[in-house]
Amino acid sequence: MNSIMVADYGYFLLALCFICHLYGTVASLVAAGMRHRRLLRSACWSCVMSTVYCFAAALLLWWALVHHDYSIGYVYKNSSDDLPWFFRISAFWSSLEGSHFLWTLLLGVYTSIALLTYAKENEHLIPYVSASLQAVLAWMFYLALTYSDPFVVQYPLPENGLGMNALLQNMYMMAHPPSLFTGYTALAIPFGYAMAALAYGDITEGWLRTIRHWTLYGWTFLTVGIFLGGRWAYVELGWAGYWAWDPVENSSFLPWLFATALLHSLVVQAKIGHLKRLSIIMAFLAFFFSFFGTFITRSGVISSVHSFAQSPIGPNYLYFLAVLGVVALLLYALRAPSILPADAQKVWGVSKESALVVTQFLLQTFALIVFIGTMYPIASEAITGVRFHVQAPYFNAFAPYIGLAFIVAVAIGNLMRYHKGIVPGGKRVIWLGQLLALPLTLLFSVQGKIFASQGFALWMQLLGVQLSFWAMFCLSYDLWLRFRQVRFQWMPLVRYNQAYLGAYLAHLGLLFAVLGFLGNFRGVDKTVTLNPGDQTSLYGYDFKFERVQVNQVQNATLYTAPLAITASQSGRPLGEVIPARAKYPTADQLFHEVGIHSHFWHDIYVVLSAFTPSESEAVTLQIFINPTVRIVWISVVFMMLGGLVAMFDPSRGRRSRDYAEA
Amino acid sequence: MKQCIFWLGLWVSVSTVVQAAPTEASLAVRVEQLSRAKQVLYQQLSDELRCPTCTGLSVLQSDAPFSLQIRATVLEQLEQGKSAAEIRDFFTSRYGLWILRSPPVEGIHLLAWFIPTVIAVVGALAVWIVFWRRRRSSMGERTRSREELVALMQQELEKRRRA
Repeated sequence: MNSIMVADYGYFLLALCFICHLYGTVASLVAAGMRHRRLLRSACWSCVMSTVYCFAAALLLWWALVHHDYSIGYVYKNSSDDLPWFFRISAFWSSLEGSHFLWTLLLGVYTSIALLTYAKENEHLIPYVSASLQAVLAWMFYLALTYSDPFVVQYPLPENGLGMNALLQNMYMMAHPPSLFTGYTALAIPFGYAMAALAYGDITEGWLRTIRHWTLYGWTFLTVGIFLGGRWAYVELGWAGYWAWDPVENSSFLPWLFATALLHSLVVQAKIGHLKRLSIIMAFLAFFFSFFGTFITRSGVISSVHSFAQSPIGPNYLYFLAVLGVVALLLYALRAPSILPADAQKVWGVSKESALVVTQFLLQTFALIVFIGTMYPIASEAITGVRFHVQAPYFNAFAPYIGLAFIVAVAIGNLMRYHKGIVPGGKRVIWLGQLLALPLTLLFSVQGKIFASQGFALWMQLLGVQLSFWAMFCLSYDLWLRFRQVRFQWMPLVRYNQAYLGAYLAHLGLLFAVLGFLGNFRGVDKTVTLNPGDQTSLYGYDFKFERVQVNQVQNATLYTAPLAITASQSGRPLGEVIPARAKYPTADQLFHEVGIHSHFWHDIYVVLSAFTPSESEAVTLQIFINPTVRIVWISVVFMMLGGLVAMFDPSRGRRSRDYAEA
Repeated sequence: MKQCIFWLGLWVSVSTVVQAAPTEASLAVRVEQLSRAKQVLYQQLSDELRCPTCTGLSVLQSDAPFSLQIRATVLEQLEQGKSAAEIRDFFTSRYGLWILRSPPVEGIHLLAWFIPTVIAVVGALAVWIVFWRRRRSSMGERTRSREELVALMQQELEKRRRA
């Protein structure tokens, strides 16, 4: 294929997509007004066709990347001859234009799926769903054609590309952006349905079921995506942590919080019909903040590790956010009163529905704090003229209290029933759970090195660990109760209340995550300079350094300083940890390749701070013992499984089931 | 901010001439010699100051030349026996509040601390009063049993038949 053809066809396809979605938006609106079914079908198919075109355009860009076609500016800027094939594929989303493209592609795919597979009972909503989502897509393609064109031609033809950002040449960066974007874009469907509910003027049961599936799908991928990003930071950046409350981390966390809030308000809505309007607002905010996150990443308004260079695309995202906000607000103001109130009268009191309201309150307060902290640089610049960056200490001042409140809410909330108070025997379990949690807390605190902290922090950590284990007991008691209800048989519970099992797993995952966070609040670390043959010890391990080695892995030249680990007391060899620095052909800098030797209770995390390539010279190493990091990575598996299990519940969302359950 | 980086750069280059640039290793040796309490203070203080050239990290977490220099200064002042407050003042008077990682508890910055706290407290109270404390009054359809519903429907049918 002629290389210029790639650029031309690519741009042409994107233009087609833009036109398709413009048509789709207008046709959907007309179809909604005229109740014209065939016109609606045409609008839906125009969206599907656009997605096909967009996919073809994406294949063109991938083709160019894989074949080193540097006549495409994006390929020239983000890849080079030395790049192995799998990074050439992930170079697709390694910078502005490509990741915008991926975002758009995924949004198109999910919109098409949503428009093709809607339930019969939602037919009256589909014109509005189609209109709102296709309007978003049209705007995204407009940006792809103007400010973020991935098919700009590079002239004259360069010999070699500039190379992909070395920090992104990492396995986790192959999975993190697609997963995160899947989460962001899947949350667009609940947004579309929320707008449709407002436009139509009421919420029906089919609405609830559909929105629930999509939210769970988005939530699951968002969770996995956030953790993958953390894992990437942990293995690549070399500061022994995975979450720095960086603006872009925060802006992926905000939609997560709202999606979680949406899931919980949907539960209340399914069971007793209340919180309909809150669900609409949460669905809107979840999508709004996924866009907001994209805006922050792309525009560079708030400097962050993720900000690509300043780009004129920034203000355009901002216009879009403003329009989105105004339209949604107007629609809400005009139409929300028409949404019928719940058919159940006021309930609340000490009950599960109240506990879920508490959850809403906690999630939204947390979101507010994260939002304030993230926007603080802009706000402080506007007010005082000085740009003031808020970093981890600010968030860490609030997060522990919110976290503790979450644990208590999870524990107590799950011991509640709708319309009733606490479950029989619940009060006893609350006290007994505390007692049962004590030995576990002790074990965890010793193994997790929690006694290394001092003063207030120590007490907070101990309290957190104790409450987490206690909450696990409370959750499990509830599970036991439900098993007893079906005479301890698996099948009925799996068949009729699979969603509950999913929630159990996800909540357990959350508690594990909290335990993990508490454990690695304080680790121990040490900086040493070792000559060849030297030995050092830390936390019961001996580390013996032989010499600096050089090896070639893919396109990177690795300078490694392998350390043999032995247990100090028994002298048993435990293996090797290999901290390294990597030199890439297209960058002058040396990049960290952290050496990690992972155990259940702690990671040995070694960073090569300074070295000379000669075999006889000394190296400087930072050795960290990071407790309970493994538990954090395990927790995401629970959350993911929970999300998936709940998603495939066949009956949740049907109102009829609730009668049977009562 | 650019100005700050400029001054910091100047300071780094000047002090490099006067004394050898600190490295991770040389700092570690000096920290070893401090008392236990001062070691903790060193960790705490250098975690409160931001790394000027990186994003999101404190000088403790970063090994950029600027960060090492700032850490060396913290160490130096600790060795001279200055208190935590004095060291904080030294940095804020020299570089402005910009060097801190969380808003100071003064002036307009109080809002950043005030708003979340107020909302957390007021919101919790509101949830308590509006939802939790309220008597349960579940007269909703779920409390109607099926038999009752069936009876209602039959009454309705009966009415229609008569009409």
